[in-house]
Amino acid sequence: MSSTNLIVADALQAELAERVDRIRPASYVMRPDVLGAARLSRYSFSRTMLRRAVADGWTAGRAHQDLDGEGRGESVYSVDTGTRRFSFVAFTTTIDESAHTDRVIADRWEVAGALVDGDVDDDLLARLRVEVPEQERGRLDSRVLSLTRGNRSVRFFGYLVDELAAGRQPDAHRVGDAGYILRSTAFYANGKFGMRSFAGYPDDHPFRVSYRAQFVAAWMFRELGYDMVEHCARVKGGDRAVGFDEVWRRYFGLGNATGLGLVPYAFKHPRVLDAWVGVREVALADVRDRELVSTDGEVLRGWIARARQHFASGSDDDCTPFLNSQALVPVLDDVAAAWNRLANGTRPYDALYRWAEEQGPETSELVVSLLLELHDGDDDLYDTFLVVDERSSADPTMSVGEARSLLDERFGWLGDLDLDGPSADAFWWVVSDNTEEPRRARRSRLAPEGRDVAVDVAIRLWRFKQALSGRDADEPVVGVLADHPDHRAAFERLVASDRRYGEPRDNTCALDYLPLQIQRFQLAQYGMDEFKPKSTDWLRVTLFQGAPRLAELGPDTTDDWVLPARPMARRERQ
Amino acid sequence: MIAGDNQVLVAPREVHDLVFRCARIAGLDAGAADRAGRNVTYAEVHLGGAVTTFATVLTDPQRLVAEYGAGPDALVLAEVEARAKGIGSACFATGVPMAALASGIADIAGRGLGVDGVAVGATATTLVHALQVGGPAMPADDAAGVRAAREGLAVDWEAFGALTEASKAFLVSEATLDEIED
Repeated sequence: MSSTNLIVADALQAELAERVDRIRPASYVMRPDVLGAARLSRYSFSRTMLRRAVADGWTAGRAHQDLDGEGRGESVYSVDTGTRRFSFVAFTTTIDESAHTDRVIADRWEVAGALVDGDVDDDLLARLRVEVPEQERGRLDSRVLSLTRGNRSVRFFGYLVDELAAGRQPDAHRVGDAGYILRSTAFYANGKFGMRSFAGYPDDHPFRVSYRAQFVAAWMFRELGYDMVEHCARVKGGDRAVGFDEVWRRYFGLGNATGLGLVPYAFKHPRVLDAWVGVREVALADVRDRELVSTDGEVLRGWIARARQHFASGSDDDCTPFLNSQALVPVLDDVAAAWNRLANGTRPYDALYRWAEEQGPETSELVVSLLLELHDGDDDLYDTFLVVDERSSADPTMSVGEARSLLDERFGWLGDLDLDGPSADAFWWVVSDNTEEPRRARRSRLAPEGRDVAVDVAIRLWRFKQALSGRDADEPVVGVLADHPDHRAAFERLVASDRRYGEPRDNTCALDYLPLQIQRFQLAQYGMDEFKPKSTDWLRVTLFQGAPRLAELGPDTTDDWVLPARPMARRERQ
Repeated sequence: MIAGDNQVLVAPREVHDLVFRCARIAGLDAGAADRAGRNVTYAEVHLGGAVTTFATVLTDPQRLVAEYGAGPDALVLAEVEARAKGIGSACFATGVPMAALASGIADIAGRGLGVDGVAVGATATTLVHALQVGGPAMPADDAAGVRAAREGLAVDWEAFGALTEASKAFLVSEATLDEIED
């Protein structure tokens, strides 16, 4: 049984197959340190969502807002895609500074919001008023597409209000590095708490694209932050108050705090992961294959300079294990110098990439994102690449010999992970009773007793492989499973894992497992940047920084809003 | 939200997730528990009443393991037999509810084999004593699945509440986790 037969022939797989000698191998791309160096790109969800909004002529704005002087109250934003209308409803309050926490387990939030398919009538608003602030404890229905919550930036919300109220713009030295006004923590969707399942979106639904609903909600969440600050400033300052000027009106994004919840998703959805990686690899292969077009060369030079300027205005906070903004500046200088050397050679983009890979993952993945800015893929097509069928049917008649072959083809890398070592199985993954936050528990201190989350893919597959050894190659696998039912999940995963880029080559249970790496990959795919780890398990990021505001959507809205220069730097340029 | 008298609207994945957790706590391995989740969800969507049926075994883990673990296992072996010999059979001594088998039967059909022995008009509660695997598969229609994904599933409020409560045993207290953390 060859792996070629088992690669499902969907659109993305066909594109990858066409470029099979040019795409990067999974042995590099799926390495934890490479995944953990990913950056937002042209195909990140925040970018694709806004390009879709522009291409389809969406209009969006604030439909209703009723806030008091502290920003407490209700807001409704709407977006019209031309075929459907959606509403983002947000309930805002204030909580004591000491109650602020970024962890999912918090039970109070200053902002709670929901994205609804359609307009919101009084009955639904009344229901949402009760259920949305309850978050995980609430019950929603299929009219609701996404549920979110967050807090104000403790450091900057009040400062921004004070400055605008006094008729001043913010001091770039005080807030330039902040990047956001509100900080979210979760964007639930896809059937959670009774919301609409993704499979329930009709084929022609504008949000029938991976994470489209969540990113529309996030974009409106960000808009709410601006509106809250300007509203509070007007109340406080009266006639003296001003709004954000042109320098600041796009600069702030939406903050996000992300914990271990991302990890189980990445390890439970191999075909989704493959699609996220595969889209990028298809585009990268195409760019690397080009000969130099003079304008492209300048465009790339412009993106390198833009990235340098962006990171040069960032902080030198400790971002271990990642490079902080300041540390990326010499990296970008090296990239610029390499491009100057290589631009006039043959296949210069490929040469630049190959040079970057030699420098290490932070450089290679930064260069990947820069190169992808030159790609002009068909967004309709790329959107379809991301919608994958995750159903899998494990044939019970598969023989032990066939299963062994599949294991060798798909999981040959397990042998590199020391899975029989003393620290290979140090942790198990657990769901906490506090709002169901995923966590890790030391096996030596707490026994799973059936409560483990099955994201221990490497360990399971390795042990399944051992269970198959010594068995008759012609025996059906079900015979092995009858003796060892614990391997059933591994067998099903073996069958379902039929894509190149579906498996991070890592062991989630190892003592030295670093969740930040897969988290960063996922966050980059979402379109987040400014990765600031706060421990080995969670980090803060920013998204939509520099993105157009709701009212700015129009045919002239461009896609080059990422990596904005810090306002001070912009002024200095002028 | 409330769907009507004694019913609550839920998403299909919620049924799957709760059944999975309850099955794990009862002693099923992760693969079998996932399969139990698929079976109950499929039966709820296509036959109705599966959540209520599953709720009846929550206080009897041995019965849960027998019906939702061993029952589908027998069906798998019947398929293996059918592929080798043209026809295979599964016998369930005390009967297994359709809630424990429905997705498995559909999967076999998806792989091209028919399954005989399910009474016309069967519900998720209907006990099955014997099934025969072989012959051509009946064409499948998943309109009910599409509708459930779009509109949600109206399930028995009390039974769903019982699953929700029982599934909490799958969780570990935050205090315990904090205590054992380095």
